[in-house]
Amino acid sequence: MLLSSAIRSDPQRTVLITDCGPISCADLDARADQILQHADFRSASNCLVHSSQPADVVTALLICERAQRPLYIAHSYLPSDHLEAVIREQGIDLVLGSGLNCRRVAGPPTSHFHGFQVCLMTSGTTGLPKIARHSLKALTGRIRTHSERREPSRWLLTYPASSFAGLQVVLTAVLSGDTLACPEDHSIKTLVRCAGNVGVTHISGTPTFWRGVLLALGGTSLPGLRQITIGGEVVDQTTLDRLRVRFPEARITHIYASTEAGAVFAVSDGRAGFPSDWLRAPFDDVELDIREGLLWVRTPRRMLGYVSTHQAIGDAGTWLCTGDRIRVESDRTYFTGRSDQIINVGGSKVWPDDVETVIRAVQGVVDCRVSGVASPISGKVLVAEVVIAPEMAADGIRRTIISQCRAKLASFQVPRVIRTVPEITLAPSGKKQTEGGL
Amino acid sequence: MIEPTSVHLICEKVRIAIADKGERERELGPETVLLGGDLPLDSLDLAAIVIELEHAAGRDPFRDGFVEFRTIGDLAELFDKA
Repeated sequence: MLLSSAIRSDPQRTVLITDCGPISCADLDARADQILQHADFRSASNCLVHSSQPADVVTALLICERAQRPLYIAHSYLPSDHLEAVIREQGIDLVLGSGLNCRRVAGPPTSHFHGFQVCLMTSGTTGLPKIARHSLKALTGRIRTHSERREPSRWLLTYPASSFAGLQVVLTAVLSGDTLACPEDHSIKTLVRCAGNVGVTHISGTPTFWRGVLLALGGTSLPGLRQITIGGEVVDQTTLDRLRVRFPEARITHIYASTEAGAVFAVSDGRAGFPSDWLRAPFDDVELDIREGLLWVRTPRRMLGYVSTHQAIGDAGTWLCTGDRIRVESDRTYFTGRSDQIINVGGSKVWPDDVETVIRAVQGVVDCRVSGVASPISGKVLVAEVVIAPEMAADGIRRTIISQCRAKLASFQVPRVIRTVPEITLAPSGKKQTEGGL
Repeated sequence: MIEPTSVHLICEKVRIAIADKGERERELGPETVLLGGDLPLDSLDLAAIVIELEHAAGRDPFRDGFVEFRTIGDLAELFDKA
């Protein structure tokens, strides 16, 4: 009972600082007890938590650990039809919503998995989300526990708690005896202000987030900051250098991780990429390989498998293709993009098809193409090129496209640049030419 | 010396981005803070504004990587120097 023991070892510790005030370990424990006694929970077997509140996600983890049941963690931004499809397909019979309000649903009598496992969704989706099933041991494999650490830290949550990266930060705070500040509003302005007010010492965020911090700080600083962790997107040398100048006292680490592969490795030498030696010799139980230009990993912290596709992917000893392209330059190896059409927007994965489907449904749109354009601020910006019917007014359609995308997609999936073009150029294969990638 | 046309162009792009978000119009000028101030913009909006500016101006002040800027005036200066 890793999580329960951590919570019970120091009941008075403030574990979360929310907009509504501090939440102690004892508060979480009491809330977990309450749900465990709830008739709806007692009669359910397959739970899903769907809440933007980190406190709800932690409590759901606690109760499923105690009851030894699987827990599905859904993104709060998941469209409702996708959520309902996941509930149906996975035989979910209890949905824990915001504030852990229980909603019983008619699931089949048997669940797919037994025991405590955590099922996480990938960030973007084509149709239904892919769901990666993890053991708690694998998820917490790179987290140092309370006894191994000396000074408690104050973290800031910049990711959704439902994401792999967000959950890593949440679990770190719970297991390491730390405190996590988690403002509901994730705008740079709020996050920077919260970091200052709470006196955070550790922040994990995407390169896009960190460049936003550099732009938003102006003349002010974050004097207590000791640890800068970067992940979710490729980090470039300029960003690392700017952060080093701005935060000379902080340790800067960039992490390579994914929902499927788990936390793979961390680099703290101030240089982009990773040492090429790591491709030759195993380290931290991790083996890396380059096959046809792509990074393959073998790690004990990887997922147990996908639940959504019931795809057999072998045991923990199996190599996993990350889909990330790498380039070896003597002693250093760099990430150069993706092998597929996925576009990494500020650390979240976007499948262009999802966005194009929404845009094509707008009346007056003849065709469209969504691609990622490299940006010095965020890794990629989504650009939609749209062909509109001759009789339609471009400005009106542009507004409709934006409002439809906002209504039907997550914020990171909404194209920020929309260009009207006379036609979409096709590649010689007859497929649309796309930039894609990182 | 900042070219008034650069400031004007940036203000126009910022105005469109704000309108696209369904937010009320704001007063804009060289001193307006782009991110972390009162404008309802996030990093992605700002990134999109910069891409649109590069497209319109035919210049890329970030070709050597990320450079810090805070206000509309700062950004105009970067474009003027590029």
